[in-house]
Amino acid sequence: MAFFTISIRPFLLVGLCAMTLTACSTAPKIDRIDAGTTTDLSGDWNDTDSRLVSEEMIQDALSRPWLMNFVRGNRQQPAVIVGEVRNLSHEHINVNTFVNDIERALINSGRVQFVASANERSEIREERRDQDIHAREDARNPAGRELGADFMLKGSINTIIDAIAKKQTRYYQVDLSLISLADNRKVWVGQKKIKKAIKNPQYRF
Amino acid sequence: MFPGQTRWLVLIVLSTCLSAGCVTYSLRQSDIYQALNNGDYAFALQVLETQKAGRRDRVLYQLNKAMLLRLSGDYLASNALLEEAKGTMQRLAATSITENITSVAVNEATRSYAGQPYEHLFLYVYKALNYLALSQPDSARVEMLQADVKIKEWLADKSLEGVKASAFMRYLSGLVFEMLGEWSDALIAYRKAHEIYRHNERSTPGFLQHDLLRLTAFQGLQDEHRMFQQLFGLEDWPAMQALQDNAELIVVHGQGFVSALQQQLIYSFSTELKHNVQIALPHYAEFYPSVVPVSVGIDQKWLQAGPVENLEQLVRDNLAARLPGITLRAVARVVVKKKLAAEARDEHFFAGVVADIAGLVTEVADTRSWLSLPANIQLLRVVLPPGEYRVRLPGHDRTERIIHLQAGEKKIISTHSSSTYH
Repeated sequence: MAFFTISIRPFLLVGLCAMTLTACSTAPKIDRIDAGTTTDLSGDWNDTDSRLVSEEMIQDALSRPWLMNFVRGNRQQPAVIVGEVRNLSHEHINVNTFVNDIERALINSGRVQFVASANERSEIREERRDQDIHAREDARNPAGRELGADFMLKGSINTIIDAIAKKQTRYYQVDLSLISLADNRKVWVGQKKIKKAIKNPQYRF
Repeated sequence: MFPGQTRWLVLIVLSTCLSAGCVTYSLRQSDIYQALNNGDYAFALQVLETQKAGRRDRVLYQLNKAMLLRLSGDYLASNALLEEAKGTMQRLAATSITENITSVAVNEATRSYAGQPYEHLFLYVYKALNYLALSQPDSARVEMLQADVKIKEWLADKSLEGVKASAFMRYLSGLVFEMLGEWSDALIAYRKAHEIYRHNERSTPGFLQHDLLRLTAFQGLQDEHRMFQQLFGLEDWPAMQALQDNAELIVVHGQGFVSALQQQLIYSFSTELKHNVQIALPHYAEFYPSVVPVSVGIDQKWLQAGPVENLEQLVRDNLAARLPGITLRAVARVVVKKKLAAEARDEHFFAGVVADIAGLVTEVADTRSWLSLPANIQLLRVVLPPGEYRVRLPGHDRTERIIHLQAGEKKIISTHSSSTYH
């Protein structure tokens, strides 16, 4: 009978242990960093990276002489199309989100005209063919009036990862280049770097 | 002071014993394992889905289910589960304070299973193969890069026991890089695969010899090229131009399934107690099916695949590397249990008897492992002129497929057969 006598002390001990151990958080410790040093949220490429990189790179692209030279020579804004941006990183990055961010930054700048991508174009052409048959004549959009792009924006997202035990340094490099469709000249090359230090937890509860 | 502590420890041990079931993992999975070896993957999946995925064995549930889905051809669902398993493994990589305390008092199977190093590597391998089956080589490339980072993380981790390299993982990386036209990275991956074969004192497969010679020649690495030529004694291999003008068919075949760990009760001397104590250790049965060479039928010809990874040997090497640590911990655990039982007996005879029984019953070996991995992987890499081919693949139903190959294309097909077929 004495063996099963319950005292309050063990409960207090267990409670104290639980409180102490809860303090050992299992969430990863991540620091947002500058290209020279280190910092971030989850460690992986995220929407913030995508938005910041696209905005900064497009701003850089729009401030360079190729734009002024084109407007001066052609007396119109250049038409740009986003080509393939390859994910060469260590992560499954949704490149579509990044491409959408680039498109948004370009369109919102109001300084270049923007042409729909190859996939979007085929859908629009299909709709135009459908209009040809089903739409009223005055509301119909004929084929052959598309705006051809003057430049294609292409690029890649690369990473270099240095890892040891629970620590990791991730270096992202986004390279974009604007290529003239008339003569394959590269009129602008942009590069944005992000560096993050990630420390995974040593202990969990 | 001791009587109070002992009372609670006896209760903890008893309750943990009840919750753990005190039955080894491999025994609980015997129905699934048998269905796998009979080639009845649908039934194995059915049995697995009826099991409750316990918190401690969640990783194995995810890995096995992913593999069974893959064997059923559902590559998307398989990859979703492998990604979940990857996240679980990453979370469990941190040392659990409570689980470690429990494992000292009860047994190692009370810890959450975080996967052996080779299991981490094969998670990436199968995710990449799934992506290749889905015609997504870029995503397969991501998996191979992540596997490389994982190996880097392990370099400094002296506490990590087990085998931390896979020649096939390196070879597959090389293949993926080649598919994407990244010749330099492909050569680096092939070199690493070759180094692993050398380190394990196994001969470098013929197709890898060809790859090393082709890529060193293509990249103008004359000294290295001559060195490989002398080492392999080869005069002829498919040149880069031949590969670009023709197509390649690559068949990756998994044969059988790795052995399941079993429990073995042995006696080991305890310096602390000054007598032999009985401990439960995981072990593999001595005999296992040998590698049976498979062949692939291409139109009228039969071509034999070559062994690229002997996983059966790898899991056994992995256990051998871990066994000294497991044995040390098992002896220490039995000593703790014996001491607790003695202290309990001093307080109350009945408590001592209960503690002794609990100590014995809870001494269970950790027999957890990824059971649905193939026992060995064989590979056939053949250069073919562009065109249409009737291909008879290895497997229990000798699947026949009509395959169209285009110039410069590298087509990878994965197949599997249970141990009774080849």
